[in-house]
Amino acid sequence: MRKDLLLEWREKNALSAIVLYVLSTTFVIYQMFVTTEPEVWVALYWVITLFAALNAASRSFIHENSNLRFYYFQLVSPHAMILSKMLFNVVLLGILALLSTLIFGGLLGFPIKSVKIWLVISLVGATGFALALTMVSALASKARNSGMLMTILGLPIIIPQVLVLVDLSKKALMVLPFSVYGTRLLGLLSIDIIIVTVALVFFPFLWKD
Amino acid sequence: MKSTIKTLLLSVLPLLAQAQYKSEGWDQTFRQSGKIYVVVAVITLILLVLIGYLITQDRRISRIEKELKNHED
Amino acid sequence: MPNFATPKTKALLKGIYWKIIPIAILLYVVYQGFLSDAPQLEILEETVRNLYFHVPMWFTMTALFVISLVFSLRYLRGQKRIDDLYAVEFANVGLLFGFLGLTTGMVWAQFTWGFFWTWDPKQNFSAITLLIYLVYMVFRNSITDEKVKARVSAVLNVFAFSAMVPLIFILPRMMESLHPGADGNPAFSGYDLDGTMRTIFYPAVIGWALLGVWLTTLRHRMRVIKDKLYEIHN
Repeated sequence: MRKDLLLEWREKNALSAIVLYVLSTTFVIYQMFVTTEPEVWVALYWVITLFAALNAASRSFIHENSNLRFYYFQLVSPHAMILSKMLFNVVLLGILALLSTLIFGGLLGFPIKSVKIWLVISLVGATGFALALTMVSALASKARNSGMLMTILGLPIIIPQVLVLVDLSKKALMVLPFSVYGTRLLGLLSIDIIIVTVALVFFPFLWKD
Repeated sequence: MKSTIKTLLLSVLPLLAQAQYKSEGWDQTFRQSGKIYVVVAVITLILLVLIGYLITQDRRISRIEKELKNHED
Repeated sequence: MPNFATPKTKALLKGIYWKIIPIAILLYVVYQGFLSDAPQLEILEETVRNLYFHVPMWFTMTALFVISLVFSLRYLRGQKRIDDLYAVEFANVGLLFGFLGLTTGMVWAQFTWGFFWTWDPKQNFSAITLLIYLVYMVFRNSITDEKVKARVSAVLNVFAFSAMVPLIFILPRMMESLHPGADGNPAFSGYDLDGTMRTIFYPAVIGWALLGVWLTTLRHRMRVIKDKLYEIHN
């Protein structure tokens, strides 16, 4: 498994591509909006993070050619494969979320009242995106038109999480006790657990090629 | 297709029935005055036609299956 | 798992006898549904009769999706094409009923809540569930190799189902919602299921569900026929 992680880390170009994406979209938005209402800030943040996440995660399975994949198949168990890809994406998207927060905060101000809460929300969101999109990417890699398919398929799977995250973020605009966030955060985390469990059980079926 | 028409109508009709007497709440005698039987008759007719369609399809498929089976033997 | 595809069960599936049940039940539901007394509640008044039609659509969809999942799992175990065909057809018809449930819900909402879309959690999440199963369909059509198609769709089916369970059953109960059964209460809790409604509602669910299964068996048999014809010509 460590071998996998090392192999993934070599894909640094992925990270820079995403950073570029976030920077450019945020810049465009900055030009469009002189000041942003807090709710608009939240919405824009999640839309941009969502699309950046789609971009990032789709690189997980799709860009490998079949020779490399055959090589991997010999080396590692499917469980190690999927876990390492998920872990990589979680870290990647976590960094992405933090970066987005910084860029957004820098250009458009930071209307969230509590930084701690925002960290929790954005990282839980990033994790959820990462896990779900890794699985979708694994499935999409089996089809022909992978790139487009990934976006089409990834979006409906992610939307429930986005809705809950936006709801949480809006709450974070006001000063509220932690209990308010509790159930929804738990919900998001349980979704993550479900995804990982299902992936562990069923990914081996996908891997047989 | 069949179920779409059928069920859309089935669910819209009670609402139309409501629209007729909305401001007075609802009126028991109005409902029992025989007009509701028309609604029931219409919907039953639609239901029977659609089920008839299902049955003919079922028979057709059975026939094809039998032909295929004979073809195999 | 027991083997269901024995000649006896096949003959049973094709027989006319069990199909009389949904026919009889649905005729009864239509008749009694309109002519029996319905409890008059605020806002809903007579439209509560929609309960015999709108809600069974969703229950049927859920039942069909569960059966589809079972066949997907069977396929993963045994790699039998017939299981895959069952899985996809149950999902297909499940989608149809889900679509019907959604549209009937929108019509009902327009007249009682004032808008046909209210951003109510249950409405949102059930629409998303339908989207996810549509993704399943799109996916199937984008893979050409039959074996890969079957395997991938089986896994996707598991995912779609595990998305549906929290989306439709768990999350709406935890959130504020216009639907009955929100904010932590179980659905239908003493809401309006008085005696008369129960005698019509429960049979309605069974009737519509059996109708869904009938429709699925028809579609499935068509697929098997197409398979055989394809074999014969090649």
